[in-house]
Amino acid sequence: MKRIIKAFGIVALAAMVLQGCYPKEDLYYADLDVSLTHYDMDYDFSAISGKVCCVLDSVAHLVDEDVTPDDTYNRTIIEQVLENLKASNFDTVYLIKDTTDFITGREPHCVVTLTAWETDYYNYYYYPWGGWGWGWGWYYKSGTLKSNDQADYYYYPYYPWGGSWYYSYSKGTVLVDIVSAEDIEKPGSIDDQIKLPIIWTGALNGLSSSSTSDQTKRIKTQIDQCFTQSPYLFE
Amino acid sequence: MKKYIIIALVLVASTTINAQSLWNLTYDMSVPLGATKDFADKASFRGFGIDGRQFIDKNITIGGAWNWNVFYERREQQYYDVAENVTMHGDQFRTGNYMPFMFNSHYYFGEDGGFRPYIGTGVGTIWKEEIMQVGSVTIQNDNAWQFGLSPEIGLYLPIGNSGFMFWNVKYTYGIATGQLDATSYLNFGVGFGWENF
Repeated sequence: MKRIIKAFGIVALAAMVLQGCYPKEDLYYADLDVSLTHYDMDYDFSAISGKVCCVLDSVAHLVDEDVTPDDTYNRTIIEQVLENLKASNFDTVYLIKDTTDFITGREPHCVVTLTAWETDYYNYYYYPWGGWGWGWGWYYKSGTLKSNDQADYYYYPYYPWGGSWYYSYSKGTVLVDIVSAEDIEKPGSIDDQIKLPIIWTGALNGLSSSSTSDQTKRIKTQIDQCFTQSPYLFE
Repeated sequence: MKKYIIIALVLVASTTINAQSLWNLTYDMSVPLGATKDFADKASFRGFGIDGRQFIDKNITIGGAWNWNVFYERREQQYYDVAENVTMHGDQFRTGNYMPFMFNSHYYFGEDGGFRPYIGTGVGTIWKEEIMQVGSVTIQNDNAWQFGLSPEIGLYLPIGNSGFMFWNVKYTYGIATGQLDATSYLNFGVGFGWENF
């Protein structure tokens, strides 16, 4: 009996000690923010020097069914991306309503799309940007992607270096994609898919806080960080 | 691997049911070295161990030990290259869990019933898990078993009829595997135990 009591005491003590072994820390929302960038290593970023870049003046929200998108931070995202791009090597940067809305004579070399993920249902990927107008407008077909191999649309993002990372994006992520408009592959037939070559992606991820001012500040900081860690856009 | 763990536990348990045995609990403080220091460069105050020993001679024991040591470091605002063209930025939260399961043998100086310094070593395996989060994203979660060694010096001081206080310094080393780097850290243990549990 004495031995059993001792053994019980040891187990109880061990349980208490082990419980205390795991690190715990008080964290602010900003402590868990992440900025991620990836780029096409085969793309010559010096080619953007002096060129035109258009930013689509809206943020596409990927949401679960029957969920209303939260547009609170759309302007913050658009304006902060615009500000950073204006400081980059692009000569001219302006907003467009859609991909046919460019100024004649100032056709874009690159187009920037903005996407906010408000769902974790990322295996069903819907690329919201259609109607790429310059030269291939008649191929436009709306619809959503049912699964990875059941495409019901002709426009989808194409990461020339492999797209495994976009499957990792989850709820609370904002994507800034720079598409090389000049490298869009014209399909051989109407049944072929158009590839939209994304040469750079900035992704920001974090937990949603209840303070709008705090969230705005964090979004701005993270967008700035994406550009800061991409010096090739400025060299 | 499970087979070896079971053998180790049986060996530890067996030392508790015979005469001339020692059973002790230690609180471990640890200092990372080598590759472990590269992963988390901060001293650890999170550690615990159970050790059972059986005298086979008046100065020699054989036994087994299990420890759990946790290293944790937060590195603020760091860059991390996931691939050549993929970079993450944010606070890094690095947690390393190390659990050595060792057969051990020790030689004791001094006389039975007195203050006894000892030297010894353990041989066995280390289960190790290293997790790194950048912000809320877990980007590394590796674990592996490693062959390990744990040379040790220490001393124990008998108290009362069958208790004793216990101090030790132990170097734990695990050989690198294809998955994970070598493990290397120094333990400073303090504890208590019973003779003939």
